[in-house]
Amino acid sequence: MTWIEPSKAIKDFSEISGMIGNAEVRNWQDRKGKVVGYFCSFSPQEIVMAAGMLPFRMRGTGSSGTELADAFFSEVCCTFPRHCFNQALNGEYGFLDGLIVTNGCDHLRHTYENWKNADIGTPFLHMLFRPSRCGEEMAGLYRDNLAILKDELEKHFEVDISDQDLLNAIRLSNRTRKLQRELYELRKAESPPITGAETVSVMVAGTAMPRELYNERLESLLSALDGSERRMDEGSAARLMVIGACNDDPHVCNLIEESGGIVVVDETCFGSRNIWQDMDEGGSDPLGAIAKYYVNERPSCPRILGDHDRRADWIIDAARAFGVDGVVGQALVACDMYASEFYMLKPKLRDAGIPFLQIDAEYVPAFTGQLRTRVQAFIETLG
Amino acid sequence: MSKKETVQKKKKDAEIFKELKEECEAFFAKKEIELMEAMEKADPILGGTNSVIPELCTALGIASWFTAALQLRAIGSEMGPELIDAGTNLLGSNFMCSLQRAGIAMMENDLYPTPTMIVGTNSPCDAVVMLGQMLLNHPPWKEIPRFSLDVPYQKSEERMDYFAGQMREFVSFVEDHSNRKLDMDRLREVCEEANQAYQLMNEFQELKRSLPCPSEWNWGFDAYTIARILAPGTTEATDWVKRLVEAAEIRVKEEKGIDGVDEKIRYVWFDVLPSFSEKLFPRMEKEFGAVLIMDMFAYNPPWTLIDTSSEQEMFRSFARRFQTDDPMVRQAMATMEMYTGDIHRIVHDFSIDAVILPTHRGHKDINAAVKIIRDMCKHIDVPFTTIGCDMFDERFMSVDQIVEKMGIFFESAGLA
Repeated sequence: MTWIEPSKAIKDFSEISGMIGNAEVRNWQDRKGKVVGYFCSFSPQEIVMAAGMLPFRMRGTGSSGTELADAFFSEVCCTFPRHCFNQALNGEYGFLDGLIVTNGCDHLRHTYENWKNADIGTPFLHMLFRPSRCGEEMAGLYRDNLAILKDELEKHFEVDISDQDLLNAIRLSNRTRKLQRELYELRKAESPPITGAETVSVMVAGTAMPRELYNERLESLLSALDGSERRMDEGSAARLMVIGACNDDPHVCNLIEESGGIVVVDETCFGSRNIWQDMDEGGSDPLGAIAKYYVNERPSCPRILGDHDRRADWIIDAARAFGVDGVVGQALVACDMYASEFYMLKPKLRDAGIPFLQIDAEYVPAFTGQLRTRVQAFIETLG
Repeated sequence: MSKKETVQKKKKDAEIFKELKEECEAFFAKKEIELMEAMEKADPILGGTNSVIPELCTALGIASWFTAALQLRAIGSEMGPELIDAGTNLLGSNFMCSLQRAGIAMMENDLYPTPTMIVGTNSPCDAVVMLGQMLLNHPPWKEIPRFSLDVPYQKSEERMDYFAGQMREFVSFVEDHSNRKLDMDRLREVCEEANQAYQLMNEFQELKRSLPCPSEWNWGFDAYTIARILAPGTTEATDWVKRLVEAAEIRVKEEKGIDGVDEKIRYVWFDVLPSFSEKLFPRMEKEFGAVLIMDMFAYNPPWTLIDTSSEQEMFRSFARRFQTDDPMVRQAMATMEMYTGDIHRIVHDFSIDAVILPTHRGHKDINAAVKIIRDMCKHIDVPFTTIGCDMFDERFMSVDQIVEKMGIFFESAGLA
C-alpha cells in the first residue's frame, strides 16, 4: 500500500514538527517574542499565551544520543527526558526564555532538578505541581499553583496578564481544539484523507509555533482535505488506534502504515487527549477555568489516581467510533505508569473484543526491524 | 567497672538485642494472625499501598496491611525469585521495581488478604503508585470500596491543610465501610502512646552519633517496622523500642560498638534496605569495619510527634508526618533540597565517612538525581559512590559483587 503524495500544508507542518528550533520559532524570536517550554500536556499553555509568549512543548526530536545527559540520569531512566536533557546540555534548547516542568513522573520531576543544577542558562525555570486526583478541592489547589506561576511569569518577564488576556488565550486554544477535532472527524472516513503519521506531525506542530498562525494553516489544510480526492491508492488497510505517552515522532505510525495498517485515532499526550473537551470561556474566573479543565475536564493520563475506568471507557468508545480493528499501545521503556496502565487496560479491551498489541520502545527509534515484525504479525492477525 | 561487671553488662545488652530480634518475629506473627482472624470472621480489613494513618486502625480495632510489608516478607522467602519472575511475565517487562513486580504476582495469586477497603496514594514512587492503581482495578476486587489520596508536593502550611482535609475524608471512608465510629478520645490515647515510641526512636537515632556506633544495621528499620507498621500506638511497640534504647545505651556507656566489629568506616546507605541485607551488611562490618549508620528508613531528622491538643491539630500532624516524615515519601514528594539536605545533615551529625547510593534499578527517581547528590557530596568532601543493584533480586547483582565494589570504593577513597 502506498499513499498519494501529501499536500504542501502537511509538508509544512512536518517541517515544523521535524526539528526543535524550527523556522516559526526563529521568526517569533526575530520579532523579539519570548518562548517558554513546557514538558507535560497538563501544563497551562493558555497562561503563557496570555503573557504574549510562545508555549513550546518539549521533545527530543533529532536527538541521536544521551552521552551528556547520562551523567545526570542513569540507564534505568526513561529515554524521553534523557534525550531532551541531552539536547539542552548541547545548547539546542538555548532558544528558550523559560521552562515549566510538572511532576508528571519520577523522571520528569528530576528533569527540573537537573535543569536547575546543570547551569543550562534558561532564564526562567518553574516547577508546577499538579494534583494527582480529580476533584473540586484539587482544582482549587491547582488554581493556587497556577496563580503562583502567573505571578512569577509577570515578575520575571515584566508583563501583566489580565483576565481578558487569559480569556483570549482560552478562546484561541479552544479554536485550535475545534479545528483539530474536525481533522480527527475526517479520519472516521472509510478511506481517510490523512495518515496517522501525518496527523502526528500536524498535532506536534501545534505545540511548536504561534497559535494564530497554526490555526490559520490548519484551516487551510482542512479545506484542502475536505472532499479531496486524496485516498489510499490500493487495498483496504487495518484501522488502528495508537495509545501511549509522548508519541511526538511519526515513526511508530509510519511503521504501522508501512505494514498494512492505517492509524485513524490516538489517545496520546501529543494527540487527541488535548482536543475532545473545550475550556470554559464564559466564567468570571479564567484562571479557575484553566485549573478545572486540566484537573477535572480533559481526558486524564495514568498519573491521575482513580481515573483508570474513565480512561478505559474513553479508549473503547473512541475505538468504536472510529471503526478501529485493533489498538497499539506504545510504552516507553522504563515507564512504570504506562506499563501498568496497559496491564490494567488489556482485559478491558479483550472483554470489548478489541485486539491489543503492546510495544515497549525507546524514545528515539531503535530496533525497528523487530518492531516492524511484531506490528506486521499483529496486523495479519486482524485479518 | 570491674571486669566481672563488664562481662555481666555485655551479656545484658546482647541478651536484650537477642530478645528484641525474637520479638520482631512475634510482631509479624501476631499481625498475620490478626489478618487471618479478620478474614475468618469477615471483619473489616484495610489494605493498600500506604499506611496513611497507622494509629487509625489501632484506634478502630480493625486489621490492616500494606503492600510493601507483605512483599518484603514474601520476597525474603524462598518464593521471592519466583514471585519476581511471575510479576515480570504478567507485566511483560522487567524495568519496574522488582518488589512491585512481586506485588503484581501476589495480587494475581491471591497472596494479599482480601481487603474490605483499599487505599492508594500518589506516593512515594511511580511503581508503588501504579501498584496501588492495579489493586484498585484488580477485577476480583472491583466492588471493594476504594480511596485515593493526593499527597501535595509543596511543604507549606496551606498544603498541609489540603492534605489534612483528605485525611479527614479518609477517616470518614474507613468509618463508613467498617461500620465503626471513631472515638476521638481513643484515637488521642493511641496517638499519645505512639508519640512515646516515636520519641524513643528519636532517642535511639541520637545514640548512633556515638563513636563507635552502638547499633547493627537492622535496628532502625526494625523499630520503624514495629512502631509504624506492625503495632502502631500500642504499649507493646513502645516497650520494644524502649528496650532497644536501653540496649544501645549500655553499649554507649561502655564505649563499645557492634560485637566483634572494629568500626573503621561509618557510612550512609541512603535508600531502602535490600532483601539480602542479612548477607550484605554483616560482611561489610566484618571485611571492612564498615558500619551502616543510617539508611532511609532509620534516618534522622527526628519524627515529629502528633499534636493531640485538638482534633484539627491531630489531623495536621497526621498530614505532616506522612508527607514530611515517612521515609521515601519525604524525599519523593519534595524537591531535591530535601534529599540532599538530609544526607548533608546526617554526614555532619553522625560523623559519616562515606555516602553510598545503592541506585536500585527500580528507583527511577534517585537514578535521575545521582549527579546532584554526587556534587553535594563532593562539595562537603565526603566520598560517594553508587552501586546499581537490584535491592530485591540478588540475581541481578550478587552480594559478592556488591562487596567487591565496596572494597574497591573504600580503598580508592582512602578509607580502607
